[in-house]
Amino acid sequence: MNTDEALLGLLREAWEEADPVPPQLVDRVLFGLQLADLEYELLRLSYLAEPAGVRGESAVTTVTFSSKRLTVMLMLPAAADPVRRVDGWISPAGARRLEAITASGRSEVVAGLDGRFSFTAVPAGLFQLIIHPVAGGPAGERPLVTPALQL
Amino acid sequence: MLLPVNPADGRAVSAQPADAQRPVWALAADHFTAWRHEDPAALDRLVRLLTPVLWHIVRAYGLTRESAEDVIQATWLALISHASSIVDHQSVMRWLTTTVRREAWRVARERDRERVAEPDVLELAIPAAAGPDGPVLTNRAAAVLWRHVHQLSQRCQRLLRVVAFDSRPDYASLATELGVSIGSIGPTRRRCLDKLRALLAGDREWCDS
Repeated sequence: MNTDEALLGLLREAWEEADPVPPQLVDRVLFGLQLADLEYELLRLSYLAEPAGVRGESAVTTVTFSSKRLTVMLMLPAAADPVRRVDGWISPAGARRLEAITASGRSEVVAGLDGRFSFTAVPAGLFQLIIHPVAGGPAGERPLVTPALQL
Repeated sequence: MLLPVNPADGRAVSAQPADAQRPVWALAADHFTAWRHEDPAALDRLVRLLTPVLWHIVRAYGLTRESAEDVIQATWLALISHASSIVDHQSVMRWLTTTVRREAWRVARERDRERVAEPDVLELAIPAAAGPDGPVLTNRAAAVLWRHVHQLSQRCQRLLRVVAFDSRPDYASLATELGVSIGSIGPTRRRCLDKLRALLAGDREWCDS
């Protein structure tokens, strides 16, 4: 254990074991890169509330992403939840086209005028949301995309 | 599994067959070049090779697991959109590690500001970092080492974690993030390792292992 390299090698082992890379991280990154050809703006995580279930009810995780232009809140089903739906709303509200990329392909909904939307029968696995610009909105507005989420 | 790399020349220290003899940054350069030459699977290999490195670098800045993941995803996307500006393919690993550190540092500082402003969110913002009593390490030497790492200053822990996973970090940005001059990175690294050795020297279990 005399050289710096040997000591750093052992430190590396300790950190790899004590704070391991999340097992799905690489898959989630690769999933997110599928959209890399699209000209878009990535929404950043701004708030995450841990699952809060009440007496046996399934726990829902609430996650919020935002950019300068828009905030989107998503309520994600628990892993064991039989009802696989993702509800959410966007602010500012508007009838925007929303597209979900899931393990079984893509599906589209339009947000209500109050900004609410939901995707039903969402399969387990990765989930990513694309928020398309409003028709007739400012020219050059790019779609907004959330990072890939594990459902 | 990462290779032990000699920081002096960037070469792998261990004598293992084939790819294992090449330093991580050189493998990264190979994958990047192949991807730029229209081999889509090479991007896959690059992501698999370097995502673990990026993870440990980002976590050195005390980000939560969720924030760390967010920063890593953003960094890979940034690589895709800036790929054509990386002329020297040998530097792709440095580009990634520097980008991810800069972003992790920014997020950590923002979070610290919020903590001061809103004490209510303190609980949430504390990273779920494993303390000395946290993980049970299977490697005995690593387990003994782990007990002492936490006695080092935050700056030492951050610097050692960064250099343990990236043998050739960009010193200029690292100096800014650690709040020291470029010239003192080397001496600081040495002092941190010496401090760790001194702690280990006083541990009988370490001396026996």
